[in-house]
Amino acid sequence: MLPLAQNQKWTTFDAVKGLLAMLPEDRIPTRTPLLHQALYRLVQNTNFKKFLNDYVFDNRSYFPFARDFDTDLTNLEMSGHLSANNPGFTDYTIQPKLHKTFEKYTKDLFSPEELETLKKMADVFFEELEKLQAQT
Amino acid sequence: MEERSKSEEVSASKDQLELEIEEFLEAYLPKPGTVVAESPKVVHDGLWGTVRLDPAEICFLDTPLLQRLRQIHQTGCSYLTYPSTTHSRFEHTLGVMLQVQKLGEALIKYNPRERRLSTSDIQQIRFAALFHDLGHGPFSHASEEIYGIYPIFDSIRPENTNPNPHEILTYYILKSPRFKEYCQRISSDYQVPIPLDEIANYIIGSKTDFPFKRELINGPFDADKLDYLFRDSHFSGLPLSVDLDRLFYTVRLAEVKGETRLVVTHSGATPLEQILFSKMVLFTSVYQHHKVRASECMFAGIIEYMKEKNIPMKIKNKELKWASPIDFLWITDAEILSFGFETDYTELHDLIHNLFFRRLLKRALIISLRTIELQEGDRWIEFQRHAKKNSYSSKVRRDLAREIWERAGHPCLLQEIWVDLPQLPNLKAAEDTFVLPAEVAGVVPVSLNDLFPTGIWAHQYGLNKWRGHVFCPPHLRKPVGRAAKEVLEEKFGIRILPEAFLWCKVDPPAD
Repeated sequence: MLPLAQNQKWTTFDAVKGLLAMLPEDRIPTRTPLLHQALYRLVQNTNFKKFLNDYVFDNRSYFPFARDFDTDLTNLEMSGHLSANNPGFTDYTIQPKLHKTFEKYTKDLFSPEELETLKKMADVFFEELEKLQAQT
Repeated sequence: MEERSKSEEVSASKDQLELEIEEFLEAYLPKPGTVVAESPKVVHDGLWGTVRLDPAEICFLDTPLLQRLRQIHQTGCSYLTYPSTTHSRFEHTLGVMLQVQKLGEALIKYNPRERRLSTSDIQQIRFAALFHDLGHGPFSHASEEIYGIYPIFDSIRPENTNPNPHEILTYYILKSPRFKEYCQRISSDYQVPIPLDEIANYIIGSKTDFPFKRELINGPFDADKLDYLFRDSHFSGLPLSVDLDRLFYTVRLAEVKGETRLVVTHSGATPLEQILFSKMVLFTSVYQHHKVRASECMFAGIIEYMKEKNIPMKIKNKELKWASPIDFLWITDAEILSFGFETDYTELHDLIHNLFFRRLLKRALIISLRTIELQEGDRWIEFQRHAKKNSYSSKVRRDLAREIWERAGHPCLLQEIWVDLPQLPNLKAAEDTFVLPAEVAGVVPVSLNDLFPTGIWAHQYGLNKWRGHVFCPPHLRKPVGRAAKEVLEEKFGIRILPEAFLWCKVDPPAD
């Protein structure tokens, strides 16, 4: 099936699906400041920035916040790709569905070099999350 | 890069926008010195009681620029569902001024040792309250959802910020030469400092040297929220419980992440949680009620029709073609509705009259976690992802509506078929609100979410209450519902359950 857009180019949302699918572990915190700060640090890297171009980061608060990233995570949760069903809703679990969806429908939108960069992004994102969690 | 909607003809530059604002202000802001006020006034607000206005404030309030807010419904089209929500942006503006006064006075009273807020600060922030909704158009957020996706906002949005579109328009109004000139005259005549640049920054929420001042008008529990939560819940008849008195006597100033911020003491955490939950309940029950969403889609359909058929609306000598967000400032709710009586275009007449006389679009289909069954290998996320307010997702939803319309055999105007996927409110405020666990030296404020994960729980509530819809004229629910089922199942590999129809009182189509 084709995505709704008539072209085959990937979007930032596709890149986020890829990033989440390629994380070294399948659990990340749900805390907004951690997620958005970690993503914002990726945007500071010139190799990664182009994958996140559709997000506008708002730096008016003590942490950068991207409204559309927040909505994308909500939508991934609503469609069963992420779940936050541990007792305190403190962690997202990356569901097998997200891996399957990425493999089947999204992965081919990226070139091999882009996929390699996405994997690096995923690793850096996870490291940043761990660092930020350790600080809290 | 996600595609932009190519059908929008918009003002391409900031210069063009500024010219349009000047033209608008020429019509809505009198010459400096024309409006005078000799003494203060007292206005009685139906919710909060007495609001005292200073002469300088009256000189702004008595201009068409502010008076037009009387004709703009605060909660858009919700009065067609909640009949008492006829309150306007005008009384909300007065209410916000009062809440600024009360919050400010509480801060001065309960921070006696370090008076970092003064009465003249409160006076300045009252001006911010007075101006904060100048950028709203007809039916408030309903028109903001239309013009807010225009590409112009990508170029005029202040860097490193993402304010609401109407806040950006307000910002540019305050920065305009004509408004500045008017303001300077008032400031001089009444010997009142009106630091417009600072006020504009407060409204848009820019980082300032005094974040606690900004937070009185643009913050996690600012005067704007305090007014609209109470006002909207009161007039919709939904009793929401927020212990506002407790909030006022627990507000403090404290150092948070290197800045002086508005915080509450530990016993103020409860009213803050109530505010967050109230906001989510208001969203799910009022702002995103299916009939309210249907009526806002109808308003969007009116504008869409006028744009596609190139039917301008004339106000004075100005032709409104909806190409620029400023076009929306020229009219109010009543003017767009009365255009239905004037226009010679029959279809447009009907579209407007359907809204005016409450002949609302109805649900052909409900989209939620409980009305669809995800199948192996489904592409549902490619649909769900468009519950967003940007031009790409808006175009995708309209394209989908077109497909449903074509599948149903063009039974009505395209502008009467809508795929509506409302965006849930973000609850970032729970992370951005700080509580002082004890008023003891050395105690560091913690975020509200650290005390109790309010934001996360409110988010789960919203997630489970979320509904998307396919709307259509009442007599077409069966054929449109059937067409929508076919299109969504084919495109996204899901199964629409009978509940999607039964819950909107439609017989499910035979499989």
